[in-house]
Amino acid sequence: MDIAGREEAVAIEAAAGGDAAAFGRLVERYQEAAFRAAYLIVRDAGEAEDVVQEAFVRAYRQLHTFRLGEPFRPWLLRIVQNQALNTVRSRNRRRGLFGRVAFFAPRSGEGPHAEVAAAGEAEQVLAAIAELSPDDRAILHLRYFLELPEREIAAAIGRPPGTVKSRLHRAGERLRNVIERKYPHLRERGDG
Amino acid sequence: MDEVMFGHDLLERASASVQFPATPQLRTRVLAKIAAPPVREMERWRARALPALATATIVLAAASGVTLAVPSSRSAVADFFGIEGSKIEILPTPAGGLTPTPFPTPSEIDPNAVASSLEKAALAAGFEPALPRDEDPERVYTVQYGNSTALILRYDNFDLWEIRTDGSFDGTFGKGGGPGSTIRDLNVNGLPARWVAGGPHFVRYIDAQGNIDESTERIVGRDTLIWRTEFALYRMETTLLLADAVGVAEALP
Repeated sequence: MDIAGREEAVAIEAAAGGDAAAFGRLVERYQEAAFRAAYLIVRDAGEAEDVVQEAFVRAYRQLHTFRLGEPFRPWLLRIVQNQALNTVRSRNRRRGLFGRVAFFAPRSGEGPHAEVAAAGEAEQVLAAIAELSPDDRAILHLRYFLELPEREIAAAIGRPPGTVKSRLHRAGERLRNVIERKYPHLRERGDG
Repeated sequence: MDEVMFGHDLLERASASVQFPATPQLRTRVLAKIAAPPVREMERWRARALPALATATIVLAAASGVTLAVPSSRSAVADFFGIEGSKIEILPTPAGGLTPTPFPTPSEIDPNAVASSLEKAALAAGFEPALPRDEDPERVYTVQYGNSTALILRYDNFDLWEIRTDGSFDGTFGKGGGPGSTIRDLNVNGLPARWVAGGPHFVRYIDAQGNIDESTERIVGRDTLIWRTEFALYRMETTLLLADAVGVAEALP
């Protein structure tokens, strides 16, 4: 364990014992990764901020379940991703409900498909990933957009490290299906 | 990690070009939030301090068709059931020969309510209100109940009342059913809820000592959904159908 790793372990142990200041150091260290993980899912900076704040609070209250010696970042990102997915589900429920009840004026502007069509390649890839299952989304985000090493990806998805490559491969195949159906112009750029 | 898979290069390019917003500095806000006592501790405190509420739930039988008693007999509550922070009173049917006082005209809002802005109301109440679909309400009111401030958010089809229950709030809201009233036991996000429908009913605030605050009494002309979460007690007075009212409740952030 390097110096940073030892400092982190000390901070986690202190925070688990109720030292909020020690937890504050963990917040500073991981807020960027947490914010990006949330943003990839909710795609709104304000919502991502709320998600991360709530996720840190939950992490603090669940620190007693964290196993010292394990990497902290994937454990935290798992909480962040779950919180972000809950936010998206809640948002979708609201959209469904209010579409039916219609007692609020419809939002102005064009729909999400028009927005996606006008977006760049990265935005379209993220839109395609958003149509995958939460597990597939998580592993692609962790690998490509948050650039976690294989060991941490395994910890974040709660699977043995040896399964990460095969899971990535299967997620890639399912991404291919989405792209072929909805974003065929990306297809020729997707192989390899 | 270099296994060739579909989309590898595409994902690498997307990763390199995706634009993330600036990361907010969260340390201060997170530490402020975790400094507050956990809700479960507060709930345990409430459970110790308010044993009467814990024993107050009585299964309602034949809730429909109860007759509203005269106002002066409202203290003679025969039976009630409810959820913590809100009880529904089933008043005794007047003895033969007595005529119940006619229902007063329903009033739209608590007579003590004060119009406010969303920001000022949130400051007064000490919490950020949950907004349906994150839409600002048409109007906002605050009402003081004991040491707590309730928010009333007025939308087109409903008034949404919100009051935090993890702080100083230690009273209850009583409701009485009138002729034709029905009270339905249901769930909102898995937590107990009540739907009072079928006719006007009255509502009033009762403090922790059981004293009725008569200044808060009013007749509600619309159907009402009452539910609570871990943090708050909600009441929605609405013209929506039950399923849609529950949908609004369950979708609150």
